[in-house]
Amino acid sequence: MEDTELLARISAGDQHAIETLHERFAPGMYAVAMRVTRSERLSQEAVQDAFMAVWQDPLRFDPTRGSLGPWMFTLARYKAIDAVRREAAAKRRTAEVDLELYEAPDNVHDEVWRGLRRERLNAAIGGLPEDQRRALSLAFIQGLTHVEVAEREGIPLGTAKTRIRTALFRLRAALETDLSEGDSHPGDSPGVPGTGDHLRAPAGRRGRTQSGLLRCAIWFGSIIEQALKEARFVTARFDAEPTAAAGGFL
Amino acid sequence: MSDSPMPELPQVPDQLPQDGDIAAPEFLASLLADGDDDMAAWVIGQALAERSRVKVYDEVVRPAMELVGARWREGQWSISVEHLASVALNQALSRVRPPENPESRIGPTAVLAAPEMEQHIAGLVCLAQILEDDGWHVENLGANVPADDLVGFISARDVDLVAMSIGTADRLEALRRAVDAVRAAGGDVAELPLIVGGHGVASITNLAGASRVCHSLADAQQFARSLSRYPGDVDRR
Repeated sequence: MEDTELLARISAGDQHAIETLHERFAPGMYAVAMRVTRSERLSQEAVQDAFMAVWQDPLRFDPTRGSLGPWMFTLARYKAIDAVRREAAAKRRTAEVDLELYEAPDNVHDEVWRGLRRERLNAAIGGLPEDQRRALSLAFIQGLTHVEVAEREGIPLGTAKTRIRTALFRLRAALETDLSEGDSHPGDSPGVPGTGDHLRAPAGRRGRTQSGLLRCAIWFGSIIEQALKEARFVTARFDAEPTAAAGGFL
Repeated sequence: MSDSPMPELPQVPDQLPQDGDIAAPEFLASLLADGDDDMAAWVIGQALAERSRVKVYDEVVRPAMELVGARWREGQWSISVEHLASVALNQALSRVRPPENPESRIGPTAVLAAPEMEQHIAGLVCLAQILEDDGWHVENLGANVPADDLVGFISARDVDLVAMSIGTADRLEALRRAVDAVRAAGGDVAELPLIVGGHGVASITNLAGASRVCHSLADAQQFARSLSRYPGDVDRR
């Protein structure tokens, strides 16, 4: 059967004709596709795609411009290149997902970390005297200046500053004790929360020096500041339950 | 466009077609026009596994390049595509170059060149490989060789054959000048066997001063083999 007759039959939906075409050209097309993809799976796909294209639109072939065989091989080559392109795109997507999964433990840890910090902070704040807790909340949650805290509380400015400062020291002390007994490594390199550094192995014990303790103090200070900043996002709850600090300040 | 579902086609067996129809000039031309020298070399290699080099170059490579030229002349392919095809072909040919034959280093010497302004050298590369297969030592000077320079080059060497090629007929005059210069050199050089070929000589059968106008690589090979210093067939298929 001539090429043009074969294509005319395919155009009419003759399934036997496409099978004949397959028998005639598929091995060569597969070889061409293999040369492009170096993959049996992709080559099979490419050949299948090529025959699907011929089945759907056999009149794409113009017999005045050449013979059918080279056209089929060229079609297989283009479909093979498409298959490689698809595969490469799929690999890129997979790599992106892998990267997200790889990064996920840090995010999970951060979430756990924040949860622990909230719990400990809640407990520490709950342990503060009422006047200090109120001054702290006015300064760090409602964002008032020390002068405004003094006016709101009807106390001298020095007293307001003392209450806030004393509250912070108590929180720092409470959290320092709490976290030192927990799973962190004060005195070692504590790492930077949120970066995953604190998951890594601690530095050698020889590094536990005065500067290490200083870093530790700064770190705890930053924890409190960060925790208090976070607490500003839950002011509604605080306002609704101003006296329930021990039960759920944050 | 067919609306009925395509029948389920079988998996393709992992084997090449026995008739080698992958090596069709049209397919090779499309590969070259796409600059796919890797697959072009593979296609030529598939053909070389079943046919002699001279047959493959005459029956596959030359028609492919003629097709490229035709599509350029018809305006279907741009000059850039034609140049890309030429470069891809040269790269593909270098990949299928015959293995070095020790005897070709001491074999008779053939000097190949394209005359002034001629840039097409694929024919020379094909001929060089065919002659190397036959045990010749080939010195291919490539494109755009001035006539006087060519004469100076071959005068300084022990040369046994000169072959020149042009891709288009508008280089015929340059070819004539080169042939005349060789013949006017006097001495042994003037007597050297000199053949001309390429698509540019397709319309002529004789050229003054040329030993033969070759219309195929087989023709050129046959002439080279007829020379008294022909070294013998190394790989005659």
